[in-house]
Amino acid sequence: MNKRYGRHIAILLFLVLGMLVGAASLVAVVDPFFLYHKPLQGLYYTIDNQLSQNPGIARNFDYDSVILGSSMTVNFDTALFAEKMGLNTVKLSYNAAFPKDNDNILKLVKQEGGEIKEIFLGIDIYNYGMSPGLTAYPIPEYLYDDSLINDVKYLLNKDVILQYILMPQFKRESTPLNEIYWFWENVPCGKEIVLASYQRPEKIEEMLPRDFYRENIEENMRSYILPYVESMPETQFTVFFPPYSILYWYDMYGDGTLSAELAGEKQIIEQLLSYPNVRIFYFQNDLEFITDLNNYSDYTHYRHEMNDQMTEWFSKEDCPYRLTEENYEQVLDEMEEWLLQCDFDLFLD
Amino acid sequence: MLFNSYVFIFVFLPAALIGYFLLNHFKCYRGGKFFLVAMSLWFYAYFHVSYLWILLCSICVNYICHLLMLQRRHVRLTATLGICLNIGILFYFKYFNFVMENLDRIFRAGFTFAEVLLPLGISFFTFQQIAFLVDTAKGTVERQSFLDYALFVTFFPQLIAGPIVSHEEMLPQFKDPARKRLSAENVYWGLRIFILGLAKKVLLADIFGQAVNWGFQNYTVLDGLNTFLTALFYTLQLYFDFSGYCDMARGIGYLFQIQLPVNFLSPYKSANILEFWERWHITLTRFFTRYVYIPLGGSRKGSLRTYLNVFLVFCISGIWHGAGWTFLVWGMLHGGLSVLTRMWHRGKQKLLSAGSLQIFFEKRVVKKLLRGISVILTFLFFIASLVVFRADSLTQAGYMLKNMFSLSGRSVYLEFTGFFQVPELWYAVKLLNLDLFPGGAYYCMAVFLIVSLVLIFCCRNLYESEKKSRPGIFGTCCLSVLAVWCVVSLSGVSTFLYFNF
Repeated sequence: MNKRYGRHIAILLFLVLGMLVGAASLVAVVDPFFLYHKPLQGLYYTIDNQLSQNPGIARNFDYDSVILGSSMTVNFDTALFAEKMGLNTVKLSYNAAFPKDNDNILKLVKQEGGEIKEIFLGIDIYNYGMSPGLTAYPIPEYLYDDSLINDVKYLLNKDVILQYILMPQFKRESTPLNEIYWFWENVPCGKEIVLASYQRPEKIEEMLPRDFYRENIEENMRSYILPYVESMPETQFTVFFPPYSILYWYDMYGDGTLSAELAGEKQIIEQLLSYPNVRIFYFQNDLEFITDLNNYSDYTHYRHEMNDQMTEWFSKEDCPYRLTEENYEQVLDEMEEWLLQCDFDLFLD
Repeated sequence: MLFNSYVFIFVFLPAALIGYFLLNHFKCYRGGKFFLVAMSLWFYAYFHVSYLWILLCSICVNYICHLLMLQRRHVRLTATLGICLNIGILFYFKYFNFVMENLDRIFRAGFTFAEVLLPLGISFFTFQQIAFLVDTAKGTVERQSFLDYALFVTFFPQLIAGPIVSHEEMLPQFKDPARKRLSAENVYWGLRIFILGLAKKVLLADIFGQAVNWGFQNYTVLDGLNTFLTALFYTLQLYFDFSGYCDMARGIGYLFQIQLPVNFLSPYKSANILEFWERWHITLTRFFTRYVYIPLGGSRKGSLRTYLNVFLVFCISGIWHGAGWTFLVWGMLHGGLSVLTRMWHRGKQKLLSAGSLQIFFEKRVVKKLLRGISVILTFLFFIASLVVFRADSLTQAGYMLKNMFSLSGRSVYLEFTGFFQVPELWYAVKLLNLDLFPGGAYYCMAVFLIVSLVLIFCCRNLYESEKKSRPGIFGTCCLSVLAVWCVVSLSGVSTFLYFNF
């Protein structure tokens, strides 16, 4: 009797261990999150998960430039970066990225990314004014640290096997590297679409003090951005402020945070301009663009042609949106003055 | 450490088993027990290392009380002090915040107090030790060594969520030399029960749990039908969660050659609330019966006092489940229905004494039909009561219950369906092009619901089928596939569905 049970225990353990080793080996060999190696020739890879795939891309892809930032940066076409600037760029964006998100991935870029010529960093002032240490979403730590033990969560993972290994092979379809994380193909633009999802502020709050976000911004910059700017002097940091629609500013005006946000932008710009390896582009005062809601899919997200246009401007020395020690105060003051006098309701008709 | 975690399955459990049986193999029985206690403390400390001292202090103090009482001097006083101390600790960690918040609300005193965090499993190990003290005071417990006592309290399969074991069923097992050797039969059944419990938890309860979280978070936008579904999903989640946990605990017990008491016996098959509580959290009901209900007088002091005692026990049971008004009301609802059911049973006896009625009700078909209706009604009551149990406030509970009974709504929200579209099932639906048929998006949810209801209402539970069959090769292969399926389901891939900066 005991022998019979013993035999079945042996069969059970043998089968379980065999299948687990098989599953783990499959994941390690195909490695759809690129934790151990680059994509293999002849296999198909889906790249659509920023939280899980960015660390592997940062670790194991060949690149000399990276794009960082929020959903404002995901529609960049990295092929254009190669064409216009000769850069081999990877996109490491996180939707709703906070400074800490950038820090998490910059750590890996600096540690394992080789020689980095340029880092393109989109800054969303709203997130830089939030408490330091926040991330947009909980990150799967096991993909970001160096521990091999917790890789078990990756190696024995049903979603990885089904969604990221079997499904792409079944569909025989890989995500083109220059298009990763694109969403513009599925999100139409147009004034009607924007207005359908927009709610104008119900009341206008009193304007908050200009230094409302000062401390958080200071801490966020000091902890998560400046250490890289300072420790990577050979790398050019191209920092840019993306062009939200006029409705974003209407919301900030309604919340009473408009002046505090613009003061926050000025604070960041002043800090960054003191570094020789930083150049700054300010696209938010492209008034013609931001007031035409046909350029947007909602109150902040612009059409992908704007990403292409920004790429073009990054490649030009004489870009009208480049900020310097000489012009930055005037640009920001004019922007604030214009916004404070703006009749936002005009754009809702 | 959770049973459903990689560290438990791949590191802790194998290490505990190998260490324990190796020491026993070399006849180092005390070493084996010591090792098991140490592993259990590691298991407990894995959650929050700073709570280890609470558990250790609690064990030491209770053991000292045990020794003092065995000297047969000041037994009542020692027992009373010991029980008060246990209840005091439980009160401080579990109810202090709740009481202070309510005092603050009543007196508007603006109290400021540091939030006290609840140590895991405190309700269980406190009750277990109270029972031990009471039985020592009654003289039904012999002197135990500290090691045996510590193992009785900390034995990890039952430490954090029960069953609430009693000394007479555990201590003899820990001392039994026959249980120091591995029995292949027990190991096989232990693995089998553990894997099936794990499957209930990982493949069913956790899937329902996601839908439940969404439903309770968005209860204000749900119509009647979808509120009912939320409550139903919660009822199923709780079933598979608790049942899965109890199975895993029993399975692990078997691996260590220890038989833990049955704690869960198909409770949703109950025909009334009294039967329900004989099947749901059986060891808690046993504790309350022995140590609260009977000392209060039980059924010995007339029917009115019996009803009052029953009601009181359920109120205590309610507040034991959590510090909040919702839990108390939940307990009162169960207490109220228990009293009514007892009244009905008494009244029914008199009613049935009229001959013709009795003959009618004795008919098999009528009996079966009535039982079916009773099971459904008991199940519906439990669903409704769980809305109160799970809600954050009585206001929310009231809103949801009102919504549920409004019978509004004709279609299931698509948001719900997404939680059930697990890749393995959803790909099958897509491969067969079933999603193109009308209602295609709902198929996965329907599969989960049907499978769950069949398992609950139509299948024998694990305890009933335990050791009743011999292992076959097909069953073992299925079991191994299920085990692998569970393990690869422990971790998912985080995704987010919307973008916003």
